[in-house]
Amino acid sequence: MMCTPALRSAFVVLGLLVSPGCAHQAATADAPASSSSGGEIATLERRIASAKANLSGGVSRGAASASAPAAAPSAAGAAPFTRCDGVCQAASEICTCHRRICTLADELKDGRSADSCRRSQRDCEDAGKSCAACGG
Amino acid sequence: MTSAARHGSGCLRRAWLFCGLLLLPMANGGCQRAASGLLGGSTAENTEAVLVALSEARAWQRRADLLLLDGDLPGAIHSVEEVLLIPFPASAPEAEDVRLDAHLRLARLYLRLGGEEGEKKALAVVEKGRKVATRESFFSAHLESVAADVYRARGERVTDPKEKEDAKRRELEAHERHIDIDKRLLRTLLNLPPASNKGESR
Repeated sequence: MMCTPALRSAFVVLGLLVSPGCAHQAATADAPASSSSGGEIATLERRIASAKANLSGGVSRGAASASAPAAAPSAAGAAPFTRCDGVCQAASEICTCHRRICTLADELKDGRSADSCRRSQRDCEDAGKSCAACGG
Repeated sequence: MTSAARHGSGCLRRAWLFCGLLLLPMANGGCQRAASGLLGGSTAENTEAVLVALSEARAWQRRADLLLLDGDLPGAIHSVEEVLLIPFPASAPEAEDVRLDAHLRLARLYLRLGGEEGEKKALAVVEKGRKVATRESFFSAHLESVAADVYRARGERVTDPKEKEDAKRRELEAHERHIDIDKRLLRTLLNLPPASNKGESR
């Protein structure tokens, strides 16, 4: 248990560090490189200090809360996954498999794979209807 | 290399410096033991242990993302393997999903290694994933999708017509298994009784 606060701190800080930080910048490498590396590190250090203070219930709780919405990694745009999302995801996957099965059946040219293609087409149609009925 | 790309690469290296420092306590095992120590406690402690484990999984997966951006495939594989070592409370249903997700990604990364060896390793991970799954989910369905990808890669790699045909058949069967799982998930989501097996076998 001795290490738990440090562990928690490391995770929160790591989450804050990697979510909005350098990785995003690297991924959009075509953007102008306007900020110096020193400035970027200072920003990260401020985030780390803020997160640590928040974890320990320290004096800068208010300041940390103010920065939390922008930094909280788990809150980033995750809409709830509804039952219909699941139904339509299954339908989409079934139809993707169906298309590939029928491509393979065309290449294999035998009765078994032709049957598989027909069955998967039926499955795709049924699943599509379920998705549509669900409002998808 | 453009200056922007160089800047991105330098930035990644700096991120690594930070990540390395932050992951050090995990790597030395001390904190892992501490997290394990939480596993047998109260509900609140178990919830905390699950959150800690989920955060650790997220950190390792993110580490793999960053390594891939730097082109370090073996490093990314190592990071995802670490997810499989995270101790979750025994009763946490999240554990299976996290582990299956890690198996999926690991298999895909092995496949990216290329060649017969990569395919074998990917299939071995898929097989391990199947054993981890105690219930059907999109994760278990996606394992079959990865299996199909492996056989597709094999079909494109081999030159012998018989081996090519065999790979195609196996790929087709993997797609069929994927559809079967999705159909059952769909029925569960729609609150329908399980379909009778008559006429459903492939």
